[in-house]
Amino acid sequence: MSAVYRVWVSILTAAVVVQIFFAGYGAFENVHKLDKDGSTIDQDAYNHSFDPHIALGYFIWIGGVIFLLISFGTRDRSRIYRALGVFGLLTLQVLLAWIGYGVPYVAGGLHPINAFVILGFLCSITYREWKGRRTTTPAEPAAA
Amino acid sequence: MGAFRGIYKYFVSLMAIAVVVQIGLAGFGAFDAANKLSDTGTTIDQDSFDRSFDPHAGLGSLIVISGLVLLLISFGTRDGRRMKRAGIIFGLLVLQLILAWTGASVPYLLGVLHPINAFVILAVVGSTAYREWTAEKAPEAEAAPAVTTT
Repeated sequence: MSAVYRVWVSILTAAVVVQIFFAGYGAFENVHKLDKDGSTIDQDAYNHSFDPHIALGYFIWIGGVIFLLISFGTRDRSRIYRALGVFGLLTLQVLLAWIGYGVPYVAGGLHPINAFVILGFLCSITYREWKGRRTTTPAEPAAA
Repeated sequence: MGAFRGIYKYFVSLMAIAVVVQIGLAGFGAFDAANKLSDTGTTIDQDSFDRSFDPHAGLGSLIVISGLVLLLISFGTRDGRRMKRAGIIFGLLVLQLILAWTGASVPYLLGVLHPINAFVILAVVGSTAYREWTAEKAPEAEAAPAVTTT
């Protein structure tokens, strides 16, 4: 189960990087749409640019739920706490996205900052998992 | 030289805070533009869209200028490692500015790299600030046992 945990957190980390890519795509795609003189965009056109970001965002949140379930299987308290932390941050991120439209100067501003906290946290877990694997591997022949 | 090291430490710390604020302002811009479109049938033009991102663009330019100032300060420290780090930060900031300028024309290639590069900038500026604050404590900690052994 520890191996599943390690691979899953690596996939989640990669997904968050792609998610940040999609956020940049959404913003710049809207700038691109407004490039021509006199052009305007409505809500549908604006949201359409952010569709990949929104869709992947929900997939990542579901990925966070699965990560939490996997962590229970590892029966390692520190892994469970970290997965809980990731799940909490992902839930906060969805909430910030929902209320960001109404309060852009607070919730909207916090949405990308929290994204970077999520990425930093996931990177540290991924690093710890792969580093931990390397440090435990040489011990195996000794135990045998 | 010591004075320049002190200035370098505080300046890079301020830059780290500014980059976090800058990331917040990017979110504000995107959600503010979305907020303008929340009423059914409303549309926005380029001016209205750009106005939402004005604080982000304004602070962004200031951060690039401060990157240049950090580079000049680093020369005053006469420390190769500090100069190298300031050079990398300035290079990343210039790249960020170029990505912002060209991002709209190729959003799926250059636009997407703008927020990723922001993360790299935050990591490098943050780690430089962290290193400056911890480096001050480290020589004291190392020096203390050395005194007791002699």
